[in-house]
Amino acid sequence: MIRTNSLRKVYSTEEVETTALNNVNIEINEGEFVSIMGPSGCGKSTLMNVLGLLDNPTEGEYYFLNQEVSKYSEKQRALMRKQNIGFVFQSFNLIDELTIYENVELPLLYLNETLHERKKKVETVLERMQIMHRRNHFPQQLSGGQQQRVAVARALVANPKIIFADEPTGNLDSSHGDEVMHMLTELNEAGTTIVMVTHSPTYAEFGNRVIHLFDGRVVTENFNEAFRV
Amino acid sequence: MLNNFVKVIFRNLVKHKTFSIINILGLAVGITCFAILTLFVIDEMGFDEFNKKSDRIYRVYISSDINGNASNTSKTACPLGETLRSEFPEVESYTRLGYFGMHELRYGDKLFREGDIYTADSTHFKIFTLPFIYGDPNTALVEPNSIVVSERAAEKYFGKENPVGKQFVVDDTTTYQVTGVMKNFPRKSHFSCNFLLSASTYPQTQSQNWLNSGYTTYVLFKDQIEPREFEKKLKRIVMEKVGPQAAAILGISLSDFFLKGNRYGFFLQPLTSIYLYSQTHYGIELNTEWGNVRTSNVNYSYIFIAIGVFILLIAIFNFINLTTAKSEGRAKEVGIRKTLGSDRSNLIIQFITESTITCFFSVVVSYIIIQLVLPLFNDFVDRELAINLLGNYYTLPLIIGFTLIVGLLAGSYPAFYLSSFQPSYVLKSKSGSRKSRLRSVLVIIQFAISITLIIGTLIISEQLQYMLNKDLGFNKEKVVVINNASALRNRVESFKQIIASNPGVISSTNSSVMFQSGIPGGSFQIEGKPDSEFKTCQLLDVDYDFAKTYQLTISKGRFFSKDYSTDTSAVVINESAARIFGGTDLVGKILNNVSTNSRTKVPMHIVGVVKDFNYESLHQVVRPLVFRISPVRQASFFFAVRIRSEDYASAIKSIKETWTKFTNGRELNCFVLNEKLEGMYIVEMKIGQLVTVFSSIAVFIACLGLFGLAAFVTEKRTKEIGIRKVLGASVYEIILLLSKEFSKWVIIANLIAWPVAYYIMTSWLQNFAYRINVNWIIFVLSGLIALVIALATVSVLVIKVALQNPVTSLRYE
Repeated sequence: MIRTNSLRKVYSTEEVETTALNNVNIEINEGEFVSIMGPSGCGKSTLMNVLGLLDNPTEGEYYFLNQEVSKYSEKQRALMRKQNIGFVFQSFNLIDELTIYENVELPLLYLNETLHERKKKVETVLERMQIMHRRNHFPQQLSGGQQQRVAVARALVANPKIIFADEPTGNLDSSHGDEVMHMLTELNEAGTTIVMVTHSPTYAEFGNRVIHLFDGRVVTENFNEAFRV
Repeated sequence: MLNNFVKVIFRNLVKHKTFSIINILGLAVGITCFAILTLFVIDEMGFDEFNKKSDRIYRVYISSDINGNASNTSKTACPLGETLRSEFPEVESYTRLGYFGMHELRYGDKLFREGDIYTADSTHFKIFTLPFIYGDPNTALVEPNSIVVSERAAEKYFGKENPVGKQFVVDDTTTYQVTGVMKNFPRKSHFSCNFLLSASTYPQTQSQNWLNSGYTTYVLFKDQIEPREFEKKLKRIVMEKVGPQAAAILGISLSDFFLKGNRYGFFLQPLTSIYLYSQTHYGIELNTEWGNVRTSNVNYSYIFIAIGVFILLIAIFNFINLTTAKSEGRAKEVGIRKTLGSDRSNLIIQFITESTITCFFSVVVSYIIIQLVLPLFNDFVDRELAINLLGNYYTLPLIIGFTLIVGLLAGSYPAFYLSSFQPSYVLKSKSGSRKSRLRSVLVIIQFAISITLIIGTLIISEQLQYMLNKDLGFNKEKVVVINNASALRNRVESFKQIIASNPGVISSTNSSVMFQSGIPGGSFQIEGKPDSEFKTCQLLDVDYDFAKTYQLTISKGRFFSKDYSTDTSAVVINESAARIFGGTDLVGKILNNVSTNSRTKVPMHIVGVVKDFNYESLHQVVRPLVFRISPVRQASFFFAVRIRSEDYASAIKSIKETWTKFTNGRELNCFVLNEKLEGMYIVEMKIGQLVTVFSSIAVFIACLGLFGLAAFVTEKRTKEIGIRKVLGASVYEIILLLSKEFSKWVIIANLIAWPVAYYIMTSWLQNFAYRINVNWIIFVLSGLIALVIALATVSVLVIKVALQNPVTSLRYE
C-alpha cells in the first residue's frame, strides 16, 4: 500500500538546512497497524506529513497505492487525500464554528456526496462512535475524549483506505486514551490500515509493527510479539 | 458546500462580535462616503441634457487678447446669430438671450418687481426643450411685448387659471401680453428664469453693432458638427463683419491690429459643457456669466471623487488588515480543511465569499446611513441627491456589482494569504502567520491619505481665514446695502438726503454692482497714444459719495465733487488702471472712452487716482477700474449706507421708515456688506467643511485599521515581550519599543503625504489671485496630529501587553 525509496526531507531557512528525514525506506501493507516511535525532533511528524500527502519529500520516491506521488502538486495531493486518507490529530483539530455533525460531514462535502448519502454515512459513524446524542453540539462543549471520538468519526466517515493518527492519545487521560486505542484496534480488525505516531510504548504495542526513528532515519523495525505468535 | 461556508461565516461573525462590528462599520462608513460623493459628482454631470437637441446646440464665445488683456467672454454681439444662420447652411437656427433690466409687473392688484425678465428670440423653443402648458411655443415670442412665463410665475400672478391673452402692466407705462406658460426650467439647466420676453420688444436687438457684446448666442446645427472645423470658418466673419467697424475705432485695419499680436475670434462651446467646464476647459471669465447663469467647476468634482475613492480605499485596506490580522484564529480551520481534501481554490472561494458577505452587510448598513445622512448633505450642498433603488434598471445591479467588486478587492488578499497556510505547519504549531510587509504598506498608505487630507483641511481653512480677514483696501465693516433700491427710481438723491439727516448714517452712495459677476467693462485710450492702443477697464457708475462711503484711499488728485461742475465729464481711476496707462502723473490728462455704440471717442479728464481696492472676489486680481459720475442702470443698483457703529439699530430703523415712505410700503431688502463678501467664498467654505468632515472620517477609519494591526503585532510579540520582561525590561521600555514601530509607519506616511499634499494644495491655491504662502509648519503639524492620534489608538493595546505578567505570555506561547 505504501512504499518509500530513499525518502529525504530537508527544511531550509535562509541560513540553516535541517534534514528531517534521511534515506527512509519503509513499506506498509494493507491491513497493517504500524506504530512510529522516536524522541522529539526525530522526524516522526515529518514522516507522517509526507506519508499522509500533506507535504512533498525533497528527494526520493513515494508509492502510494502503487502510484508515485512524491512530485504531486497540492491539488493532486488534495484529491488523493480526500479519497483515500483519514487523519486523527493529537489536538483533535475540529472546526470550532461547526457542530459535531457538520465537522464529521465535512470530508463528504469535499467528495461532493449527496445530502442523502452524507446524512446516512454521518449518522452511521456517529452511532458507531456513540456520540449521536451530541450531534448538534459544538466541539468546545465536549470533553477531550468525546472530541477525539468525533475526530476519529470524521477520519472514518469517508471510509478511507488508511488512517494516519498523529499522537491520538497525547491530549487525553489514560482511560480516554485506552478507549481511543481500542477504537483504532477495532478499525484495524475491520480492515483499515492504520499508521500511528506515539510516544507511549504501551500504545505502540497495539500495532503489529513498531518503526523506530532517530535523527530522521529508521533505526529498527520490531514486529510485535503478539503478532508474531 | 456554500451552505457550509455561510454557516462558518455567520458563526464567525457572531463569535467575534467586536471585530465584526469594527470591520463592517469601517467598510460601511467608507462606502457611505464614496456613495455620497459619487452621487454628488453624478448630479454635477448631465446638465442641459434634458434638451432633446443638446448634442447639436453650441454657445458662441469670444476669445480675445487685446493690448495685453486676454479674456474669454460668453457674451456676443447682436447680429452674430442671424449672420451665422444666413451665411452657413449647416446652421439650422439660433437664439439669443438678452437682458434689459428690472421691470415692475402689475396684474390686477398684484405688483412685483421682477429681475429675471430675459429677452429671447422667437426660435427659442425650437432650440431648447421647454414644454408649454398653455400657448403655442412656435409663435409665443414672435410679436413685440409678448411674454412667456414659467409655471411658477403664472401661479404667482394668475393662480390656477390659464393666463394666455392676459396683460401685465409694465412700469405703469406699457403692457406685455402673456402668450404662453412654460414648465419651470429643469433643475439641471445652466440657465433658468421665470420670464422670457420677445426680443422684438426692443429695437436694440436689431442693432448691427458688432463691437458691443451683450447677448448670449446659442446656435443649433442641422447635424452634428466638428466645432474646431466650424470655428475656422468663423474667422471670415471676424474679418468681414467685425473688421470694418473695428477699423473705424482703431484707426488701423483689423489685420494690422492682429499683426501687432492682438487676437479676436468666435468659438463654440457645446451646450452640455457650459455648467461644468466653462471655466476649466473654455476659460470663460466668470464675470461674463452674469444673471441667471449657473456654473460649477469640474475640478471640485475631481476633488470629491478623489476623496471618495481614497476613503473607500482606506476602508478596504482596513478590511484587509483586520481580516488578515484575525487570520491567526483561522489558520487551524484552513489546515483542517486542507487535510480533509480541500484544495486551495476551494478555500479562496470560501474566503472571498466571506468577504463578499461581510461587504454585503456593510452595503446594507451603508444604505441605512446614507438614508439618514443624505438629507443633511443635501441641505449642505443645496442638491436633491437620492438613491433610487428600484426606480430604474441600473441602481440595483450597480450596487450588487459594487458589492462584488469591493468584496473581491477586500477579500482577495486575505484569501490568498490564508489559503497558503500549510496544514502540516499550522496544525502542529499554533501560528500560521508569517511576516507580512503588505499590511504595513497598507497602513502607511492609509495614513498617507489621511495626512494629505489633514494638510488639505488646514490649508483650506487658512486660505479662508486669509480671505475673510484680508485688508480689501476699503472699510467693509458697518455697511448695509439695499438690494432693491431700484424701487426708488429717480428719487435716489432725495432718499440719500433724507437718511443723511439721521446722525447714525455717516454716508450713503449708489453705484453699479460690485462683488459679483456682471461688472461691465469698457475700452479706454489715454491721450497721446494711438487709437489702436486702447485698454480694457472695468467700469463703475458712482455718485459723489462713493469714496467717502467705502472709505477709499485717494492716492493722487481727488474724488468727484459737486464743487466742480466739470466733474460730470471726469473720471477717477484706480492704481491698476494708472499702471496700464503707463503714468505716474495722470491727473489732468484726457482719457478717451471708446464708445462701441457710436464708434466715437468720448474725452473724459482724469481728476484722481484711488488706491486699489478689491471690488471683486479675491479669486481675481484687482483689475483696472474707471469710475464715472453717471446715473446707475436700474438693474445694477448697489445702494450702500455706512452706519455709525454706536447708532446701528436706530439708524437701520430710521432708514426703514424713510424707505417705507418713499416706496409706498414696499419691503426693504438689504444685507450687511460683510456677509455678502463672505458669500463670495461660500463654495470654498463648503469645500473646506466637507474636506474637514471627510478627513476626520478618513483618520477614523485609518485608526480602526491601525488598531487591528496593532492587535495583531502585539499578539505576535507577546512572547518576545515576556522574555524581555524576564530579562529586566521595564514597562516604560516595552511601551517605547512597541510604539516605535507604529511611529515609524506614520513617519513614513508623512514623507509620502507631504509632497503629494504640497502639489495638490499649491495648485488649488492657484484659484486665488490673493493667497497664502504654503507654510511648512502646517505639514509638520499635520504629521504630529496623525502621530498623536495613531499612538493614542494603539496605546490601549500596547499598555495592556506591556503590563502583562511575563509568566502568562510565556506559558501562552
